[in-house]
Amino acid sequence: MQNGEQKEEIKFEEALKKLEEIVDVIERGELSLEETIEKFEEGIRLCKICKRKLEEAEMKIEELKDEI
Amino acid sequence: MLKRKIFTVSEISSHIKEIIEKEELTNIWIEGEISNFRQAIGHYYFDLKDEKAVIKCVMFSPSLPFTPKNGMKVIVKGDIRVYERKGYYQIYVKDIKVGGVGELFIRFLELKEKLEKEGLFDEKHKKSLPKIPSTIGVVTSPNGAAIRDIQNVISRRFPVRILLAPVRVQGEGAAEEVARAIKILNMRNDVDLIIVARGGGSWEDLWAFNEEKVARAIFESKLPIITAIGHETDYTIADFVADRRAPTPSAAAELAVPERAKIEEGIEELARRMEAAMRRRIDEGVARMERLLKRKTFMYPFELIYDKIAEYEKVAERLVKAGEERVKRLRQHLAMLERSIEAMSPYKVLERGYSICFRVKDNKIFSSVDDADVGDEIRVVVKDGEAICRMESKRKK
Repeated sequence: MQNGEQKEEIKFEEALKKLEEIVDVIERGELSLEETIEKFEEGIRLCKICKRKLEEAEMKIEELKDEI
Repeated sequence: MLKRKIFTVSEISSHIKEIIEKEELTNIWIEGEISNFRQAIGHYYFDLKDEKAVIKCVMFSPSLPFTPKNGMKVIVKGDIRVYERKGYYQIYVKDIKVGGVGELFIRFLELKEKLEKEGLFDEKHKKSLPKIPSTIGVVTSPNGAAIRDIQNVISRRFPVRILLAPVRVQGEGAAEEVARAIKILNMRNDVDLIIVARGGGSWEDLWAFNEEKVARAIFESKLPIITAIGHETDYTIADFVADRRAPTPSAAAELAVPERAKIEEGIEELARRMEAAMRRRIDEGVARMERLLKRKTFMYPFELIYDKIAEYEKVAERLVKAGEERVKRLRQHLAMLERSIEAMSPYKVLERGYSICFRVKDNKIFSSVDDADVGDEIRVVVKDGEAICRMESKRKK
């Protein structure tokens, strides 16, 4: 699952953008059924990532340590 | 045109109003001294004067951090308008900057003009804000209200990481610190948006944000910057260079992050759309398959073979029938031939007492006296046998 873990490093905004693209592609209906299913699965995965990231989001406040 | 007609007072007043109330006389800055100041029902009325002239001023519902007094040297911002009912023009004041700022104000205008000419304010340089930043760098005082306001709004709307770059926001060295903080945040790779903020204050208090260093740092920033400096009515050079200007630090935070609930809804909507599209795709596939399955080949897979067999059997049957028929006919024909042959047989006549004679030497029919000579052997066939006879004599008729 190393690959999966790496993929989860994706930024929220990036994941959301990818998800939007996938939805567009599936809606256009030009892909083969296999490709559609593949995309669908990726979409579901991205949905989960986005939701998890949203749930996990919490405000942290840190202070810049560099000398200003 | 004016000479040809007699005007009413209202007509000419309205004409004067049109002449005076032009674009070039709106939002202008005028320096002078306040005199004759009075307040009535929440509005300010005063005269603005210098050595040679005086203009009446009115300021409706003023929101100033100070109360003007007679003798104060100020710069007012406003529009020149005609007050027809009283027959004079006056300044409708929108803002007042207190004396001593005259020099600073000129510096502000000069720098603004210079940077504007250089294109630092151009719309084409404005960067778009990330939809959802993962870390927001905030350049402000660690003790001010600005950081607290930003924190509140962000935790309520969409909690993200805030990286505070603590700086002094006024006084000696403030501009340098702000500029440097912007540069440092730009060197990191975890920040994707910067808010430069400062709470309200006097014109002098906000001065750091009118310094060229800060303007340049904002312009050179690769990260998008939202400024929120002073009150809603305050505009600093930093605001002009920034990618977005917010009226307050809270408003800056609102610009910086979306509402989490809205984003969640958006994701739900995407998921719904995706599922619907997937379902459509599958239904489409199923429908196609069903259409295929309904075709004869799949519905009645042996029908084609049955057809062929039936066809073959029909042919075979016809063949057999035709053969039988032919044989039958041949038989009938044969029987008929037999009958006619029998009927025609010369031997039939023997039954009735006739005989047939043949020459023995060559078995030819003997039917004329010329056919044989005396002494020749003749075979005489009768109904139940034959006899060999020798001719004794012959006589022709």
